[in-house]
Amino acid sequence: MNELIAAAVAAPGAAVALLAIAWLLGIECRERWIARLTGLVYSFSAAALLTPAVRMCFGDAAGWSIPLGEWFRVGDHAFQFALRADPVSLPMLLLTALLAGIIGAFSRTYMHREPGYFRFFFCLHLFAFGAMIAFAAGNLDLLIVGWELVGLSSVLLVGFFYERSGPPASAIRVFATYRSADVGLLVGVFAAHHFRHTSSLEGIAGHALKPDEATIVGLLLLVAAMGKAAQIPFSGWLPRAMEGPTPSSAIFYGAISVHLGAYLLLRAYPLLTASPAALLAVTLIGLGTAVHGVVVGRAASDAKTSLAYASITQLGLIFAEIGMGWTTIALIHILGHSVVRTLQFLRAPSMLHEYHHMHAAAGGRVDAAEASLESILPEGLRRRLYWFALDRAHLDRFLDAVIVRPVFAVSAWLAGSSQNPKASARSEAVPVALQEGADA
Amino acid sequence: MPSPSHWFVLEGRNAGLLVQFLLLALLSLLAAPRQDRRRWAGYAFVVGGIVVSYAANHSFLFWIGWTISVVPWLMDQSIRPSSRISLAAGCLAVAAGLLLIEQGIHRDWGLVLLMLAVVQRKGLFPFHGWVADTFERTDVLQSSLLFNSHLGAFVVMLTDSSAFLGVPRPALTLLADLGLATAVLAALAAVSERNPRRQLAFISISQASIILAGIEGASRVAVSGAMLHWIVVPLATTALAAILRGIEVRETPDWNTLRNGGLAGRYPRIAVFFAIAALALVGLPGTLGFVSEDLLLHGALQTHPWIGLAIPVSTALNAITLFRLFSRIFLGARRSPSAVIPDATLRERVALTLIAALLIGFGLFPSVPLGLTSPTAEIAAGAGWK
Repeated sequence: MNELIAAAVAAPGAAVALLAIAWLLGIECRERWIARLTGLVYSFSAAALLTPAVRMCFGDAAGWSIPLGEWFRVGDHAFQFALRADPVSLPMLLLTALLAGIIGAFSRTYMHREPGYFRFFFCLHLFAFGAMIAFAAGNLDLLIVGWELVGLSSVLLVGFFYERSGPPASAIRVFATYRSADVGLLVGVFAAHHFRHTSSLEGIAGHALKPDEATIVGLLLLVAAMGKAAQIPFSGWLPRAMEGPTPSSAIFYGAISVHLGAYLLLRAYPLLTASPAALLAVTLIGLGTAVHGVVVGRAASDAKTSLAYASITQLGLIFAEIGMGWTTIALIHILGHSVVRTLQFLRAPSMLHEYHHMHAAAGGRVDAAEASLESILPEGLRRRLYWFALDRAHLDRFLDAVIVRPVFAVSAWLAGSSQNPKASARSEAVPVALQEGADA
Repeated sequence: MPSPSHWFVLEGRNAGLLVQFLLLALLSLLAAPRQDRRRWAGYAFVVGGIVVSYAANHSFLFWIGWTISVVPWLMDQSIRPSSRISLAAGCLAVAAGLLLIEQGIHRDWGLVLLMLAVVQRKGLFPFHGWVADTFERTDVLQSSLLFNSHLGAFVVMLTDSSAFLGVPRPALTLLADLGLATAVLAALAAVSERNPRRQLAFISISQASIILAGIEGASRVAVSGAMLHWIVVPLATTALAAILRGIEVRETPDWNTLRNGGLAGRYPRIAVFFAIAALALVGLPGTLGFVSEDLLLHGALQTHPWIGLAIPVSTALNAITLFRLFSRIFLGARRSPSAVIPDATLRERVALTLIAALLIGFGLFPSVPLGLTSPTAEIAAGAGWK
């Protein structure tokens, strides 16, 4: 069984390696070959993961710990390549394999004759490989590997249509948010090392850490989870990430990538239980994000942005569930939300197309007949709320004011101090690229 | 002064570093555009000087090598006087420091002067200006080669097992802490720079400063991490410098105003090489950068807890800067491929492919570079203050 699970995780990695070798050798991959490879990889992964999932459902096994040896060792430090398939990770692995396969099949026609067809599928496989490593990781060191690969592939797909001006600017904004929040994960893992000399999930579980230490590590992991799951104040990147192709939006921002943050908290839950402060922070962030998503989503003017804010709302609720200790409900919520949101993202373009047809056929008389809940509010408050929502709760301005601009100010000062009197004229006083991202 | 037959020595502490530097010099020459290769005298000074310093078995020869390697910049009128003064002061500080230590008079002052020379050569704050200046105004590949020789780090690595040095640990701890601070400060400075050459200089300083903390860290793990980082930073920054120079020669872009250059359509291979080098430099899993940073963090965390903050913060800032640079040069409105200008010349392709293969191959199979660097790491970890 161990070999089967390991092979299922490795299969997308093999696809990445195959495509990379083909590119290096200058072999022109036909669309049909790429589509077949994709079908083969995810059919295999899903089938291989189905067996342990069935066994677990029938209570034959509680889970599998899969030591695959050491990646490297120096002295007493070794990077352990250990996977685990348990009631938390196995459903996520199966979900990734199934949805990546579905997205692959959908993209076969959706991306047909697109110049970046090869690039899209390369990034899809890289993403699936990263997600599977992150979900199956037996320690936090390995989780970082998957986490980083997911982030990289995500950014590459946001900037997929690189010849336009919007996607690269959005990709920079997404990348900057990811990397900033990832500092929390890295520092959290190394804080765990510092306190307990381990990054294994068991090693830092429960009361292995003192309450103060658990609070520090827990809050640092929460920062990383907030970045990946678009929780406030980092929520601004998710609507911008919709610049990528629709199928990638579906699997990244509807299903797998955005749930990685919640998954990290589920994995770290035994640690969080040792810190009431960290659990309270998770709950408050989640509830705040849920309200934020509902309010801002009401002012969204396009389908993908509406779906993005709907996702943010659900992710906020999932965070709140984890914070309140309802971890099983949170896991079921993740699975259900992933499937529904993927369907909505994939259906959105054709649904809009049909709506426009219907609109034209009815002579422009198809009206939005929904009742507005906001109508019960006073006019003044409604206007303020609309302005608040239209500016996405001013969160991007807030981040620009408290992080981006101070960083650029310090940077310009440091660059100017490098014995170059004209340096300040050649350095950016305002963050042009990041500002572009904010304006996109 | 030993007899001429003992002037130079090739042993565990320097053999690997010497081979590594010569490979780097070869790759730099291979990737350099034709018009830059004509400046062979500059390369001869740098390579000759560094090789003499690495192999020197006496302090005087070490100083000679150190000085020869910076001669092209001391003579170059295009860089600012302050940079030339800085480089000359570094040479004088080494000379005076080594002399005072060797003579045994005012040994403490000798150590101070030597440490100041290391700070200058490594481009640690506040002596970082010359690195940015030489990267910007002179041959970027030659400047990169000089900086990536990491002669300053080599001095730190030479412990009291060496023939002519004996540096007490507190001085080196201070140096390592300054290196960690520089890693963050240089990464910050790069963020607002518009000139890609200066950005690359700051990023090189930032990533290379961490090596000091690894060498000084009290464990074999930290020293091994530093040794791997010593491979990653030179390889990746050389690739990035070669790519920047190659684009300058092809397109003569105005770096200060360039936005959305859209060159990925015209030079797809070069764009991919840029991405690989940049990602390796900031420690993407699957590249050697990830392994080196993992070892540095785990190894030096006990002696330098701040490394747990300095490395994630500096690499995050450097990653954002490099991605913005990539976006400025390669993304944007697609430019059709040119029939006249090649995507990557054969020489560039060979050099950049080799660099990419080393960064990824060593990253996937890190036991190979760990084995290759173990003689140096063992000496550094086992000698002197450890």
